[in-house]
Amino acid sequence: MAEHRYEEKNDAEQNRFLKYTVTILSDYRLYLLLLPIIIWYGLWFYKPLAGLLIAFKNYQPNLGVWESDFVGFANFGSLVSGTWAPQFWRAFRNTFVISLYGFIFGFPIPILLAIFFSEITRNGLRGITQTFSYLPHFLSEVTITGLVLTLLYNGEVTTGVIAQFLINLGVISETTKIMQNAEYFRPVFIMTGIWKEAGYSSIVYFAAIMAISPVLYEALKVDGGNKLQEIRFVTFPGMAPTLIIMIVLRIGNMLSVGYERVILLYNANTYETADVLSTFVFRIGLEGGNQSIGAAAGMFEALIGFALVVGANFISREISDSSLW
Amino acid sequence: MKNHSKSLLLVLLMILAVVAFTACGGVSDPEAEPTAEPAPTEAPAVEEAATEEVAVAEEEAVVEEAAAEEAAVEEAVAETAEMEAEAVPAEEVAAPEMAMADALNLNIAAGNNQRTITYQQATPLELPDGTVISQGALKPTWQYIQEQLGIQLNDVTIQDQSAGEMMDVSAATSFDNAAIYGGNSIAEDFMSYGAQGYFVRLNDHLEHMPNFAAYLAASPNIAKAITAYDGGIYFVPYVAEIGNYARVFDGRETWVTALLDSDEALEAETHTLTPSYEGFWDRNATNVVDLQNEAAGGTLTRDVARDTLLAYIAETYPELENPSDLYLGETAVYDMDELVALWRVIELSPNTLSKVTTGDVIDGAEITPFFVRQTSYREDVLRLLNYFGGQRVHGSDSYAARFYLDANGELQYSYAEDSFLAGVDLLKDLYEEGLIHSEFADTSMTDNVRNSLYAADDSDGQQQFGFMTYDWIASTTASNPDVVGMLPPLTTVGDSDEFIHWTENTRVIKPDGWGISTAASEEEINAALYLLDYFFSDAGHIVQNYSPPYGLLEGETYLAPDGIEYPKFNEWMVDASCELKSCDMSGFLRDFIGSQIPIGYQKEIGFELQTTINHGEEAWALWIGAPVKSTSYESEDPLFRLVPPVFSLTEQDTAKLGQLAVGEEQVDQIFLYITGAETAVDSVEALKALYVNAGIDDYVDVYRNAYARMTE
Repeated sequence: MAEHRYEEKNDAEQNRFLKYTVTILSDYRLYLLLLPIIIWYGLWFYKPLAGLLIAFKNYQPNLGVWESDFVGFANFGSLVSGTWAPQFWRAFRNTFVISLYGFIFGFPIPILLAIFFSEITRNGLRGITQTFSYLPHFLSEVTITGLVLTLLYNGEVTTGVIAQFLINLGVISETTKIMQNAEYFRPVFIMTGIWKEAGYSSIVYFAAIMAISPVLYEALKVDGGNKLQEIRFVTFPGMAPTLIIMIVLRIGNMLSVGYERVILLYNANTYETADVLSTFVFRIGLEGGNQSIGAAAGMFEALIGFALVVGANFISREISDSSLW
Repeated sequence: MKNHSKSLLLVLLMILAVVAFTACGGVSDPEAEPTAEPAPTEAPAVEEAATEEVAVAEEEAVVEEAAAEEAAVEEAVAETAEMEAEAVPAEEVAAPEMAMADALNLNIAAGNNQRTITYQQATPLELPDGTVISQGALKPTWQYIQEQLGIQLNDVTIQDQSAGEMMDVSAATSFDNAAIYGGNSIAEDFMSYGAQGYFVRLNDHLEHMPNFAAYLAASPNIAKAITAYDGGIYFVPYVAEIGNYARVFDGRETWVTALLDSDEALEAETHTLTPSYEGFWDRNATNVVDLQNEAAGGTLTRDVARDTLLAYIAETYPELENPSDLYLGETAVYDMDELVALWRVIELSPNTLSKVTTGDVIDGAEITPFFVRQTSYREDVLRLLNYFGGQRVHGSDSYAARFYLDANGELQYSYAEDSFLAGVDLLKDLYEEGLIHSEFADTSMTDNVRNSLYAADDSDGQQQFGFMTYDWIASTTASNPDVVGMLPPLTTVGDSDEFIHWTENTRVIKPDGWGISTAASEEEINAALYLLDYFFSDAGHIVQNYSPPYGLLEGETYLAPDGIEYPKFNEWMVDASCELKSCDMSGFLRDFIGSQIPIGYQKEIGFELQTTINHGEEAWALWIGAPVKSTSYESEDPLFRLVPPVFSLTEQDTAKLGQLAVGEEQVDQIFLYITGAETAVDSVEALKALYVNAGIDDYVDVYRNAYARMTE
């Protein structure tokens, strides 16, 4: 009896394998198109995973990953409770805080923009408005941060336009150096991000709004709904799946504060509020040549990011029908 | 149609195969899989120590290792001494009789594409013979060397890559993409990788490097400083103008005389300052800072500050002809407190000094008593601690050289010392009073402050003026005709009660240089030895320090104030440097000609002396004549002895240091503390705690052991 079941299972597996093979062969063009992506992912996302071993080693470039001495969790120990702890936990805290601020202040703006765009009825005007809002996205971080630093600079010899404006308004004193002051780093960082990305990020929400059936709006109008009620009862529910997916993705990236902008804007005076995990990894691992500690910090960041995205996806699935997987 | 599909499919497959092959072989992370075995090591002691598993055995091994290393170092020094006896006078560029490659790959990184051996200027350079050097070609000096030695030189440097990064990346492929590697601040890498067998042990090839051998034999201290713990010399260093002052104090002469020697130039002033700094010295009956503070009653005005200072000078130094003689020229005998008193008067005199400088009182003029050229020179403010009781700040001519030898000959990490940190409090007081440039530590500010405070007096709308700095003589005195060299403040050093003029900053062996990869073929190594040696021949020395012959006056020399004759630049060189590099000869040589790039050579001061203008030569004469005591490799007193440019660390040392967080973070905090940043710690005790938490004790131990291995 048992032998019979085994044979049946074996036959089923063979059939399944045959079925897959036939499917692949018959649709080989599609799989061929998929191949470059698989290779790309393999080479750039999975093969480098072996490099994570650096976090558990006393890495020396000449010995390579495999031959360097294995040190277990010593690098993690140094980060969490050893000599690197003050810097590491500062970067950890800043990463969360900046992400949180970015989420609170940065996340709603593209949604509002998308709603505004959808309410502009004249296509020409909407096109121009949208294009202008997208433009900063296509400028490099170096250009954007260069502009920000110039506009906010308040030095002995020259003063930036915005800095001078704030001085004239009495918001800051003549001696206040905005970009040297840790207190101002986060607002500047968040506002720069909003300026650069809000327009471009609104595209996905705008597309979601455009996909909502006009019949729903008409039905609400027949029922006597006003504009705000349209947004509340039609637009938002219609965007909900997109919103949730974007939230899940955003939470997954909570620990991935764009290091380019931080590196270009921060300095030693503002480390206290500006240094994030990615800049810590860059400064210690690459600039300081301590690759093992850098890799350990990077891995720590990745693991927490992974946990966050899984957690957010789980919660999303539990409380709504939308989830990434 | 079907045939087209098949063809397309075939092409696509081929492209994918090529991409996959390329990516697997070369584009993927080169550090992930070592592609080549390290070259056989010549340091068995290192291997032994590396394989130790038991701590006790490890300690024993270290003791044995130290003994072996000691013997090896002695052997190396003995070898060079032997070479002295055997050294035949080097015959310039005569090719040795050995099989040599006819081309060499060079990887010389400086983190700045202007400073490589390849010409990177957008403006082509036309040489006197009409040859045009364009972007991408070898710089003229290197083309000349190529012709002289008959070896084709190929620059394989990634032009903007820093030398440290270049070494890390090259190490992953066992240094196999060039025969010669070089750059700045990589001497420690040469020692470390050299001891592991990646760089040619030059001691074993000195017979092929007669000029370098003779140089080492004549300079045993240099030989010792570049010898790794296993006794090997793995790189040829860039040796700056040893025995010369690196930088001096400079100040505006007329400001001092106008303020102190008469009342004629005085304008009414309204500026005030609140004294924070209290007098440090008690070498005279009264302390001028204390007197100013008492007279101020909380708010100091120019008149009170000046009157107090003049009365003090008259009483304390009755022998001085003019009050300004306390500060200027060879009669200068001021200490740090007396300098602070002068700075205060200067700070409080913007109307007077702007008129002295420009001929008119400038409304809103701001005076900076002390500044550093740019924020990357911020450590020069810390050097002021030298004059508060002789606190050592840097053990060598490098901001990163924070180890020095104390009076007992023991290595100390200056920045973490209690006495150093106590001095930081004094600097904080000076900063609070506005006596130090407000942006000196603002690392995001990339302006050249010396230009704006010294060299822009005649610019429209100029309101910023600076009095004093600590900088290179030639370029600083050239920036303003009123700027003169000033002797350093008097101070005691160590246990001595004698007040002396001294500077710890002198020209030294730099942690820069170049070495030969063992991955190169024998012919390439021979050619590389020949090239490295060339720079220690008379011809190579001149080419590297000045220029190829077409930039020099044939048969003429420049007679320096010290009586030494140096090669003299011709008119073409001087004109070209002014046209293309604002008369900055040093920059012109490096960026356009290709000389003075930090590879292994002995630098000479002649180029700088002959391009010095205004009061530059007087500054040199002043410091030499005083004389200003300085540090040296030969000093009997450890407190005045230079430490080696780098320490030869073992793999265990490197591993231990990797777990310690001592570095720039704490230095940043020191500057935040001085400038009173909101995020700064609130006391010097807290600064000390930062170092302790970062593992300073273990850090110092590692370096002490390394130094002991190098010197015992």
